[in-house]
Amino acid sequence: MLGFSSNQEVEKLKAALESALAEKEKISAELSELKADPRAVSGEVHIFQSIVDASTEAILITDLDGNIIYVNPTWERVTGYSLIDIKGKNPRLLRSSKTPQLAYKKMWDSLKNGESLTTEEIINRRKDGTEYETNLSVFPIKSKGGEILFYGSLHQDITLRKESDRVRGEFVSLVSHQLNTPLSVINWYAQMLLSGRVGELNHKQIQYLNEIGYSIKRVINLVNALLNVSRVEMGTFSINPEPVSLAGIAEGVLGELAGKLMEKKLKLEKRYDETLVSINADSKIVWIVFQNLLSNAIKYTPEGGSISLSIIKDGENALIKVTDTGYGIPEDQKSQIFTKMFRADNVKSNEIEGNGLGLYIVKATLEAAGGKIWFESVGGHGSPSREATDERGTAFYVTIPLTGMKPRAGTKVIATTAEL
Amino acid sequence: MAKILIVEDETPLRAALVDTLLNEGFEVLEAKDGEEGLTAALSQKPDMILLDLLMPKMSGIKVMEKLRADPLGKKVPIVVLTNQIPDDKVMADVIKYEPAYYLVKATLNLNEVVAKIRATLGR
Repeated sequence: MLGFSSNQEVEKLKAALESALAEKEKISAELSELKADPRAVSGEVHIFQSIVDASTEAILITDLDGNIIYVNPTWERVTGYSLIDIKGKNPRLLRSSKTPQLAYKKMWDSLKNGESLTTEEIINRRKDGTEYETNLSVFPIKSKGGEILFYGSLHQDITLRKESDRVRGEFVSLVSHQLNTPLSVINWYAQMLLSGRVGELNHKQIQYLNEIGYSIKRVINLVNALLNVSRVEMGTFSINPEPVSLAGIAEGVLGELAGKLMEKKLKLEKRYDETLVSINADSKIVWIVFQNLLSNAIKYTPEGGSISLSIIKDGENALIKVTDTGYGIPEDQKSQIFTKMFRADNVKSNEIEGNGLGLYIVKATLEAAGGKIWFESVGGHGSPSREATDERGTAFYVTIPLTGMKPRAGTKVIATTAEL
Repeated sequence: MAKILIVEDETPLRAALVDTLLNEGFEVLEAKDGEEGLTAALSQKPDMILLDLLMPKMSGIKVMEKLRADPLGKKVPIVVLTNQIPDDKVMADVIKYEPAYYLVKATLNLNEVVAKIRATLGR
């Protein structure tokens, strides 16, 4: 038997009980409202609701049976379905035949295990039958106790981004194609003048025509590099491994660079591991690796310096090492060396030409093929100062797995460029 | 003297090749598109063909396909001249018709073309 000390206390208790009842009614009213129109909520939920509604990501929530209970306005806009259309239905109605069933299965499997998963480049079908590309993330929504209450998904329509990538790729390809004919004309006619067939040339005329020829090669190399950048970024380049001799390709590149080596009176040391006869690699990628590393070493090493090239076995990999006694890479710019269009301050101030695309292309293609590239450098402006020249310079390292490069299907090959 | 057919739609490029080859003492025939090129190749029986790929009316690939299917054009040596590094698919098509050489125009050295023509004719 409960005893009350006063009427006042009874009144207090009654008030508390009434307020609790009122709260309960309010909640159940809200709940039934939520069932009728899931967007009609109030209070704290409203804050999150507003955020979800305003999100530019398409958001969908299902119950544990996979039936849709909520979608936000962006989801409605992207898919063309309204919440009323699809409430209670399964999101599989968005599936297109272009996305493998396995991709969907993986998502449901990870949800059931209580895990999140992001899948890239899913192709979904809108209400009107058109398709769109999306990156799709699925995640379980859990209670504080860890119990899975709902499943959620977030997706972005990336069709536009894909389209703009494609247009950019086409633009680069069109421009490079359109440049090719006039470049060929300039190149050929300069050669015809240089041949002296249409009249003897004096020393100056020959010099001028050679300048024209040299500049044409620079433009051609730039066009090829831009094509490569576009192929790398669009992911359209192929990797075709076949048995090649790394030393053989290196010798081919060195042959093209022989004139430059002589001109700058550079010492060259070579070391080839004779047991490394051949490796499965894409010869074009190997060519641009040697071409970039060796021509950079030559370009960035002052007259009388030395360069070394070694190709050896190192554990599971073929290891290529190219060193120089050049200007070095400034400490504060080391992190940018593989970025597009980057050129270190000290080489710009030394008026050494380059388009800043070479190492970017080399790294991207090598890594896609299962290889690696890195470097060590001392003596660049901004590094601890070193007096002795032999302590200055850069070493680039490249590895290619002895098991070979990873093949890759693609519509384009990597373009190799002419030596200037 | 050997008779060379030049099939190239870009006038200044065709003119440069004509000029260079005449100077080297070759007999030169020219065609400004693929259709003309195919007709000339079958009727004039050149000893060799310099062939562009991207041309109006008929592409160089199509010209090669038709030539190789014709007893008159089955064996004629072809040097392919093209604008850019081809993609894998085009290259696969080109190789199918067994050209003697494949040269990229922009980086071409005209002396090299002459040397390649002589090498091919000497085979």
